[in-house]
Parts: sequence; structure tokens; C-alpha cells
Amino acid sequence: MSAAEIQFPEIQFKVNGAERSVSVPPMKRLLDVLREDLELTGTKEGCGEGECGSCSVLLDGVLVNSCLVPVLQANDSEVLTVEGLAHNGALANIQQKILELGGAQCGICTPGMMLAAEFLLRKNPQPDLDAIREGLAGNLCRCTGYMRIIDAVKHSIQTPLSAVVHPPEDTVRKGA
Amino acid sequence: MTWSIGARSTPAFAWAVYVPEVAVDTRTYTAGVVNFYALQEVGRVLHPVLAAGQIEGGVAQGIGFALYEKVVWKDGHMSNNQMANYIVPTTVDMSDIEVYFEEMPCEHGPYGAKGLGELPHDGPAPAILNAIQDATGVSFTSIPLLPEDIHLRMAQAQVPESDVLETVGSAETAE
Repeated sequence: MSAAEIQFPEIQFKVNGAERSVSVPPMKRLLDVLREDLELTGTKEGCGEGECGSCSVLLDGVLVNSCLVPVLQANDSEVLTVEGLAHNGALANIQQKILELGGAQCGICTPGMMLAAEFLLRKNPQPDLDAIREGLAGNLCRCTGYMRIIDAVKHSIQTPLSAVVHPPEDTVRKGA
Repeated sequence: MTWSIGARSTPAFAWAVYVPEVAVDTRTYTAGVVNFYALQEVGRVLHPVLAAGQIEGGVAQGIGFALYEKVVWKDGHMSNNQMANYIVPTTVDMSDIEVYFEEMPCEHGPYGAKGLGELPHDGPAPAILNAIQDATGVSFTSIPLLPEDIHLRMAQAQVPESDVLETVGSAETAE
């Protein structure tokens, strides 16, 4: 049997609330399945070895480096990526604050940072400065010096992160 | 002092003053930046949020340059080419950075602006080493300054282990 004829097992999981299924090599990285098979390119590859956090996603509510997760492990689970933070084109609070306060420069760390913030605020809705620093410590950023990202998380605290804020009208992109 | 622009390739060069406050643990020989102040003269500030963000990011790299980021060469290769062993500052390593601007619009830059992204890489490392000298009384002349380097120099200089666990110093570098 040639390689082209290999039938890979079907892996089913929920991504950003939608049921998805893929037939891919089971050891393929979740990161690559998200980016290549599901075309969710908001999740970025940084180091590819679990050090930098730029590929962070929530797997069943737990913050993981998607470069270290074989997609097999995501079978029957729920995955949240940066694409799932906004609802109906309205930015989530953390996204809005990152935008307003200049928390993104080159943007590679930003999706992972926002998911780390989401995870932190789900666990601890009122984090102090030390807790914010600790919560973002697994996500490296080379551009911002972290000050504005920390500020954005601080300013996201007043209202729950899942609360939807008004979208900036001209930057909303709708997709199906 | 009058500067002649003449044939300079970089007519819109900027000025800055960097003041770090550092703490040196004289038991573990670990140095860290506690507070950082940056005053930048960058002509006219075109976008205050992004301009301050550029300074903060540059200072963060400068802190890494001074205290963490050692490149180890072996057989023509960088042997520590992973984020696990080439240490860049994280959120817990970073101090607060306060950025101030002095605006003096420059006739040679676009809309009076000057370049600002590169300068904050240059000043912090010497300023941090001067602050560590202020704290410990020992002069350091190379970066990155890792705990083992501080230990070695302090042992050579025969500085007694202090009763006070942390010594604090500050210094400024102007460019």
C-alpha cells in the first residue's frame, strides 16, 4: 500500500464551539492541524518546542502549547483559539484593550498572550499585578517589553472577559 | 555645542537618558532591575502610544542584553539556540519602565520626528552595569552579566558577603 492510500483515523473535536473532524496523521501537531487543515492561522508558531507560548490555545479549558499536543490528544475535546475570542465580530474585552493600549507590536505573541490572559482571568477573575505577571510568564514577547500587555489585562479585569464590548465598526471582518 | 548636519548619513539622530534602579542579591549574586526610567528626545512624537511602546520594548531587550542573553559559541555554532537556554526576559523579570519624552521637532526628520526604535537597545546595558557598580562597589565591564560573573568579580575584589541581603544602586547613562 502506498503512502497516498493510507486512511488516517478520523479525529473529532470542537473548535471555537463548532464540531470539526479531520483525517490526519494522529501525531500531527494540533498547531498544524489548526493552521493547515482548519485554516485557523491566528495561532502562531514561535519556537515549536514549548518554550515561547505563541501557539497557546485552550484545550478543554486548560492553557496548552499546541505545538506539543499531538492532535490525537484533542480527540473529543474542546479547543479555543484566538478566532474564538470574538463573538459575531465583536471583540472580546482583552482584544479591545490590547488594541486600545498598544499591547500588540509585531503581533506574533498576541494570540497566545490573549489566551493566557483568558485562562488567567477564568481561574482568577481579580488578579493582582504579581498574578498577572505570573500568568503571562510562559508567553515571550520581544517587542513590547510587556508593559502594555500587562496594562491590557489589568484593564480587562473590571468586566468579565467573556463580556462583549462594542466592536470598532470599520475593523470588523465577518466570516462564516 | 553646535552639530553640523553636513554630510552626516543620519541627520535625525536622537538623544536619551536611562536610569535603572537595580538590586543585587549578595548571597546568590543575582542582579535584577527594579525600576527603569527612560527620557527620550526623539524630535516630535507622532504616535505617543506606539512611541512609548517602542521604547519599552527596546529597554526590555536592553535589560536582557545586560543580564540574561548569553550567546555560547561552540564549533562555529550557537550551542544554546533554544528559548530554554538562551534566556530572554519574561513578564516576571521585567521591572516597570517609565518613559518620558522631550519633544524638540527636528527639521531633518519626517514631520519633525527622529528614529526611536534602536536607541533604547544601546543605553540600558551600560546604565545597568553602572548601577550594579554603584550597588556593589565593583566595576563590571562585560555583558551579559550573569550571577557567576558577579560572583567571580566580587570574589576577586574580595568584597565581603554583606549582612544586608540586597544592595541597591542606580546610575544614569546619557547618549
